[in-house]
This record gives sequence, C-alpha cells and structure tokens, in this order.
Amino acid sequence: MEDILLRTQNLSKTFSQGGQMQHVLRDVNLEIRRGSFTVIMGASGAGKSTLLYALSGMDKPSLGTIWFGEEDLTALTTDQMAVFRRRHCGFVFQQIQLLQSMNTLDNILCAGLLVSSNREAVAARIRELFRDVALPDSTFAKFPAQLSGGEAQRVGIVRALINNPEILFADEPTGALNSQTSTDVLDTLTHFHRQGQTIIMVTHDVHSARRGSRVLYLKDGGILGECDIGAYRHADRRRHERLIAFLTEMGW
Amino acid sequence: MNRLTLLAGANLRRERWQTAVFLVLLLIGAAVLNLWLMLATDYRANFDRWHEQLHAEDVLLLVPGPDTDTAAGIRRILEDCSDVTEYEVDPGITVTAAIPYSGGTVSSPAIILPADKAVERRIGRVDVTAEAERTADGLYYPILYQSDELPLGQTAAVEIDAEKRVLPVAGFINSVMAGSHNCSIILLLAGGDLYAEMAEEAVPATLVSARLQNPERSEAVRGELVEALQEELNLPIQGTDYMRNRRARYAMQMIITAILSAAVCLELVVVTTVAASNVASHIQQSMTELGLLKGIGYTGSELVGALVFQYILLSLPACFAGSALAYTVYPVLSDLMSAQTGIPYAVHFLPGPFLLSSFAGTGVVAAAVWLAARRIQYIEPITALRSGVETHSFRRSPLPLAKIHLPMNAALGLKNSTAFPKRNITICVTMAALTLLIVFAATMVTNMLISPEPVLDLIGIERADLRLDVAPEAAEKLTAYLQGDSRTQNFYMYTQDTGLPEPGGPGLWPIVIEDSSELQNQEIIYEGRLPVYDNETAVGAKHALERGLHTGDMIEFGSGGDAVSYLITGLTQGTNYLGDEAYFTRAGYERLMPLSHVSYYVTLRSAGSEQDMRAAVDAYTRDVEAAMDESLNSAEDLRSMLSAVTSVYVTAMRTVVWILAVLTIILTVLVMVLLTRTALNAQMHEYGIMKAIGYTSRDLAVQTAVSFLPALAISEAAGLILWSLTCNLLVSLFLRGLGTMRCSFTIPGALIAGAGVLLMLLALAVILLMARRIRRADPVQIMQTD
Repeated sequence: MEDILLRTQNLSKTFSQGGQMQHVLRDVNLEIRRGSFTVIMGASGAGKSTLLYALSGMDKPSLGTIWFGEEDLTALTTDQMAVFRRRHCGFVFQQIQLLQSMNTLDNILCAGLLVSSNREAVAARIRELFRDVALPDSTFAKFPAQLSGGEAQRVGIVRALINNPEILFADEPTGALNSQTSTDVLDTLTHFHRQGQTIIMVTHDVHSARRGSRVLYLKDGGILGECDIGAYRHADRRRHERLIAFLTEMGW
Repeated sequence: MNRLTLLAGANLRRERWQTAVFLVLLLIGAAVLNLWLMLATDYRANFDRWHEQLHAEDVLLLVPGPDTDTAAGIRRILEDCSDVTEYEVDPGITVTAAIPYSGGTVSSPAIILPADKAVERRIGRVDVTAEAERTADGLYYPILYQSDELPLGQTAAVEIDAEKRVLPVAGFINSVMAGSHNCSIILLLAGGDLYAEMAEEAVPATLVSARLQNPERSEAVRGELVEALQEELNLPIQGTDYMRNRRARYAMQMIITAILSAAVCLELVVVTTVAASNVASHIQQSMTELGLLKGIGYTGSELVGALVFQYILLSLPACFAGSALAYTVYPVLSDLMSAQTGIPYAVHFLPGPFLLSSFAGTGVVAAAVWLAARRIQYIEPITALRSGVETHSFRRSPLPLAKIHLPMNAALGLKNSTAFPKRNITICVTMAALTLLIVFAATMVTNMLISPEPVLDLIGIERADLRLDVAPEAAEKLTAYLQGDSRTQNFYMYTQDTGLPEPGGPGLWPIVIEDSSELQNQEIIYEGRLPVYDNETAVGAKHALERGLHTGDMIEFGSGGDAVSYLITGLTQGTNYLGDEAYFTRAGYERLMPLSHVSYYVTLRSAGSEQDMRAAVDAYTRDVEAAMDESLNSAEDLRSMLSAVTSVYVTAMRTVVWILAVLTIILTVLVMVLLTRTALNAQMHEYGIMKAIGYTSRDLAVQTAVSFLPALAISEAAGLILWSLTCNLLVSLFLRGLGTMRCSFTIPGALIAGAGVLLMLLALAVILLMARRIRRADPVQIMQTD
C-alpha cells in the first residue's frame, strides 16, 4: 500500500505588497505518496513555486498545516525547519545555485557532511551518484563557472540526493537549459524516480511535465484539477495525449 | 558634475553602512592628525613665543659673588664675546630651594631677585601671572609650582638652604629660562622686606643674562663663557641656555608628540586600507552595474573619477569635523604638558594645522581610492555584464573540505577564510597597528604605572631615600655617622657639581663617584664602564655622538691652559642630564678643581608602608642634622622629590594609555563592523543557498566568525611578537634626542597576551553580533530575486 509522505490541510499563503494583501495560495489540500513523481503546473503567478517552497519547509504558510509523516511542519521554528530540510529534503533549483567559491566536490560535501560525519561513506555515495548522473570524477575539481549548464544541474541533483532525502523538490530544473541538456536532466530525474525517489517538480513545460506520474494544475492559488498519468514511458503516445487533454481542460 | 553626483549618490545609498563606518574612522584619524600637528608646531613654538615676548636670555649664568671685580670681569668677558649682542648683569642671592610640587618636593639651585627689580629687567623679564595683596614679606614662585600646596596669599612651608621656612606666597611668575627645576636654576622673587632679610645670611650671586646673534649656538656659547669666566674668576659657575632649556622643558611635549605621530601613522594606514578594501568590494558587488554604465557610454576614467569624487565629498567634511574634534582633547593634553613645562599656553584655533589635517586626510583617502579604483578602466562592459571570469575575480577557496577534519561549521569557516584575500589584508594591517598600541600601552603600564622604577632607571636617576650634602672636610664625620646608624642600609658618594667647561664643546655636568659598583642604577652604563682611575671618565653617549667621540678616545675638560685630558672608558645614558653628563672618580675630578661640596646618597632599611618610610626619612634627617650641626649643607628627601617628579609623567602616561586603549577598542569595533557587514553582503546569496540546503542561521553565524579567525589570530600573534621584540628599540629611538640610547623595559608577556586575547574576543563578539543579520536572510526571497 502506498503510504502518504506529505499532506496539507487548508494550506494558504498571503503576501502583503504595497499595503494590499495578495492571496497566493488558498486552502490547498493535497497528499503526496511515497515513490510518486508529482508535477505542479499552472500559469505564471499561479503559486507553483510558493506551493513548492511551502511543502519543503522553506517558507512558512500563512494558514493551514503541513504534515510530513506525523510531524507538523508549520509548528517548527526557522532553525528546526532548516534541520528538517537537511534530513528529509533535497532541492534542485532553476538557477542551479551552486556555491561559486567551492569546487564541485566541496559543493556536494557541504550538503553531505551536514548530516553524516563519515567522510568515507559520503565520498562513496558521491561517486555512486556521479555514476548515476553520468559525470566523470574529473568534475570534482572544477568550479561551477567551469561547468556547462547540464553538468552544473546534474551536480545540483547529486547535491540534492546526497543525504538520501525522502522527497526531492525541483523548481523548474530545466528552466535555464537548452532542449538537449533539459532532456539529459529530465532523464536523470526519471532514473532516480524509477529507483523509488519521491519527486515533486514545478514546471510550465509540458515536455518536463510528461516525466511525472501525477499532474496537479494550479489556478489562482488553488488546485483546479489533477490527473494521474501513470509512470513515464518514453514512446507512450496515449499517456502524452491524456496529459494534453487534461491541460487543455484546465485552460492551459 | 551632475553625472558624478548621480553616480556618487547611487553608490552612497547602496553602501550606507560601509560609508558610515569609514567616516567615523576618518574622523578619528583627522582628529589625531590635527592634535599631532598642533603639538608639533604651535605648542612647540610656544617656548619661542614667550622667549621673544619676555625678551629672554639665550644664556643664563649664576656666578657667586657680587663684588665689583666679579661684575667687571663678567662684563669684560661678555663684551669680548662676539656672539653676545646684549647682556644684563644683576645682583641676587643664591640658595638651594626645596619647593612643594605634585605631592612631594623638588630641590634645585635657585637665585632670588628682588621682585621690583626682576619685573623691570630688560633681558629675561619676568611676567607676574598672579599676585597676592601682601607681597613685601613673601616669595614669588614659578607658575609650575602653583597648586593647593602653595596657596596664593597664604603661607606655605619651603626649604631654603636646608632650613624650613614658612613664608607667604606672594605670587607666581613666568620665567622662560629659570621657571622650572628642569632648567637647572630656578628663579624666585622676594618681596622687599623678605629680600633684605635673606640677603643678610644667604650667599650673594650675580645673575648674568645674555642674548646671542644665533640662539642655536647657545650651548657652545654657554660653554665658552663658562670656561672664560672660570679661568678669569676661578669660581664655580652654574648656567643654562636656550637650546638646553627648550629640550628640557618640552620633554613631555616631545614624548607625547612622538606617541601621537605613531598613532597618526597607524590610523592613516588603517583608513587607507579600509578605503581601498571598500572600493574593491564596491567594484566586485557592482560589476554588473559597471558593465551597464560602460555599455551606455561612461568611460573608465569617468567611473573612477566618480568614485574619487564620492570619497572626497564624504572625506572633506569628515576631516573638518575630526580636526574640530581635536579641540576637545587638546586642552586636556595641554594641561598635562603644562604640569611639566610650567609655561603658560592658551589653547586657540590654529588654522594651519586645521586646514592641513583636513586637506591632507582627504588627499590621502583620495589617493588610496584612486589607486584601488583604477582597475575599473580595464573592465570590459560585456564581460562585466555577464559577471564573467576575466575581470570578476570571484572568490576561490583552495582548502578542500574533504581534507579538513573538523566539525562542519569550523571546516566551512576555515575554508571561507582563504576565499577573502583582500579582507585578510585589511585585518592584518589593522592588527599590525592595534598590536603596537597594545604592546606600548602594556609596557608603559608595567614599567611606569604599576611601578615607576624602570622609568627612573631609564631617566638615569639614582633611587635613594636621602641626599646629604656636606663640605669636603666634613665628609669623614658624615660617613662615620652613616656607618654607625643601624637604620642605614647603604650609602655612597654621588656628587653633582656645577657645569664643567670643555674646550671646543658646550660643557658637561660632572658627577663624582667613589665606587661605580655601589650605584643603584646600573642602567646608566650604555657602553664600556664607569671610571675607576683618576685619568678616566665616562661621558653621555649623546654628547659623545655629537662630538664624534668613542670609548677609548681622549677628552679634555677645564679652561684654556688648565685643560686636563681624560680617557673615555665608557658612554652613559639617561634623560636626567639630557645626555650631557660626565662621570669622574673623586681623585680624577680633583685633577681639575677641588670639590666644593660632597653629596652622599643614603638608602634606609625598610620601615613598612610608604607613610612609615616618609616618617623614617624625616626622623633620620633630623638626627643627621643634629649630629652634623653646621657642617651639613643640605638634606634632601629624595623619596619625596622622585615621587613629585614621576607623578607628573605617570599622570600623563596614564592618560595616554587610556586614550590608546579607547582608540584600540573603537578601531577594532569599527573595522570588524565594516568587514563583517561587507562579508555578509557579499555572501548573502550563498547564505540563502546554505539555508535552503539545511544550515541554520546559527551555523552560518559561527562559520562567518570562524572565517575571520585565522587572519585575526595569525596577524595578532605576529604583531604582538614583532612589537614586543622591537618596543624597547622604538622607545629608545624616541628618547634618543633626550639622552637615552637604550631602553630595557620589561616586556610584560602575560599582560600583552591577555590583552591580545581580549582584543580577539572583542573582534569575535562584534562579528557574531553583526552576523545576527543572517537570520533575516530568507532563502526563498534571495533565490527568487535572482
């Protein structure tokens, strides 16, 4: 039986801008199951990234609760949320966000040694993940400015997975990449999903969305609809058509 | 100008904190610079102003005897001296006066003139600064001694020729050449009735005041005149001169000016380093903007000019304000120095130093900014817009995390410490400056404030309880008494006589000893040894250097055909005689002339507390006076005198140490605030990523503090060690002009290390306090801003 890893109850987020209240999320109720690949889509300004950061504990909601297992994330302090993130979450960012002053290996160790003090175990895990993302060991010594976009994003993915997070959060991971590099990165995510990694990804790109098994469509801060399209298969046209039909119905 | 103002304004809005801190640093720098300039110029010139105002003499001599032959002989010699332009010869009486001063008493040869005559002197006029109603039977003292111990209009106890007298204080006078015990001769004025009474018993003398064509030759001319007068009159002559007095009365000013000059240098180094660091940070953080400005048509020179203009715009008013701020401290320093110089000084606005410090401070900053900003000219617009590799020297840390086996925060902090070379340079320069202040202050605390003995040794003073002076024929009786009194711990001969003529030289102060090993202060020996045989002498090292003499050379003393040669066996040091001393054995000195008196320095066995010792000295003195009766010339309480003389310097140094301590704290706080703020701004984006990964604000604050630690610790340790090793050398260089060649102060390692640790803790506390800003770093906001 698939267990529920993450669920929200009446999740809302409001921002104050120039004295006016902006309701970015309104009463969002959702569940994320272990092993799922959930894609969040919607028009620009729908609240996709806000929802992602709220689910990951990076941003505190204005109202509602978020349960991670038995733990209420909304009751945590800022530092407790940081500790929660390091143990349970991994992040892949649109702008990649590697630390420019550190080389690739140190960028990953910076995250890995945060949880485990066993350097040998962390190093072994890094080499294993590098094989998974098809990066050579020679990448260790390179600095972020010396990497291509695709290499940098794959390093970002390795950093996100170094501590075996229960959920991998990806915010437009291919947003800054060209199509070929995007495909490489999406293939990487698909690879890890097939190994059982739970992934929540925000995207506005339907080719990226195809990689998910479940698509949530956000509109005006709420979930307008969701569609279960099943596990990704490369040449599955019917799956793709089902996705397009769903998105069309949502008004995309 | 409009363009420049626009750019400057934009930069200022963005860099408010850095600007504010930099301005405070500059304010302090300008204040210290103005203080130094005022002391080094106008305060120093104050002596010359009064010298001219009172038409003071360039050479002042005290010749025993008022008889007409003496006076005629003096006039003839003065007339024959081509350097003398005018002179005045007045009769008076010579005494040894012990005057209350700074909680003790100071003893000095003095000449007493009738008050009404002294104020009418043509040369060496006396200025009466305060006068009581009743003056006829009172004494006028130099204003140096004006205090509660000598209340105007009331009576006060003073010793005249070892006799305690209670006399009315008739007033206070300003005498340029004889207004302080540092002048070798003190001038006192007596009311008509008192003068007449004293003249019946005291030794008559003639006061000779001569003005010269070239006052800077005053030392040489004094020597020539003393030599000529001694040959003519065969009398012991005491004297002083313009050059010597200027040094002696302004010793405190020289010391404080030297300390301030060091502080000015250090402060300006810190200010320029901070300015350069600010500019470097500005360029890095504004790289994209610089690329944009260049892209739309601004030239590199215009952008550099805008930065320089911005700093000039800020620096000029800051320097003006700082220069004005100096006037809040100047009166305090002036009062401290007046306690040593005894010359009135009115604090007033000095436009020269004010403008010089304001414009020089601004100029130095502008130069530093221009030098640091020149690299803007080489930035390619498109590369800057992309924040590319070529011109954007992003930070790189070479230390691999895998090899740092420390807890994570310490490891990341250490790693980051190597990624900020410019910041590390700023820290090193600042620590180099601050550690010098710490070492100097700690050394002064140990060697002067806690116990002044090391300073007394440096000055060249013999520390004893009593100085007893007798006629040579009474010496045996005195020594027998001293040996027989169980309270005597030890005693030795140490006789200072009148000025000794030196052919071709300015003359020296002779000191006659019997056994050099008995001297309490062995620090006076700079090179070689003190004389043992009658053909030997040891002279002041400063004097020897000036005359090109060395140990092993021959030197002549005496006048004309009666000159006697001595072998220089050693060189001595100390500020007591300003480097113009010569040591002889008794037999050696009597090859020149018979001793007119003999002095013995006596140390008593400890009687307990300071109060008990003072009482013991008083009791001992009374017993000696009773035993020796008329044959005792004088008994001087040296404990009291030393306490009085040193208290002035100790008070001044205490103030200086406090100023240095406050300056150190302020500089540390300001520089650390600036550097931390700059680091936080530069790393805010990284903090956002680290927070997203799972680092807490506390983790990041600790990492920030640790990243400063290596530069702080290494530069501070290196600075403390370097200055500890060179402190004595620096002090001796400062005091070389006053006769001290070598300083052997104890360098208090534990105190310095403790102060260093406190400085480090202060710096870390400031960093951690500033790092609380990290809490405000919202990872979502920071990453979405990109």
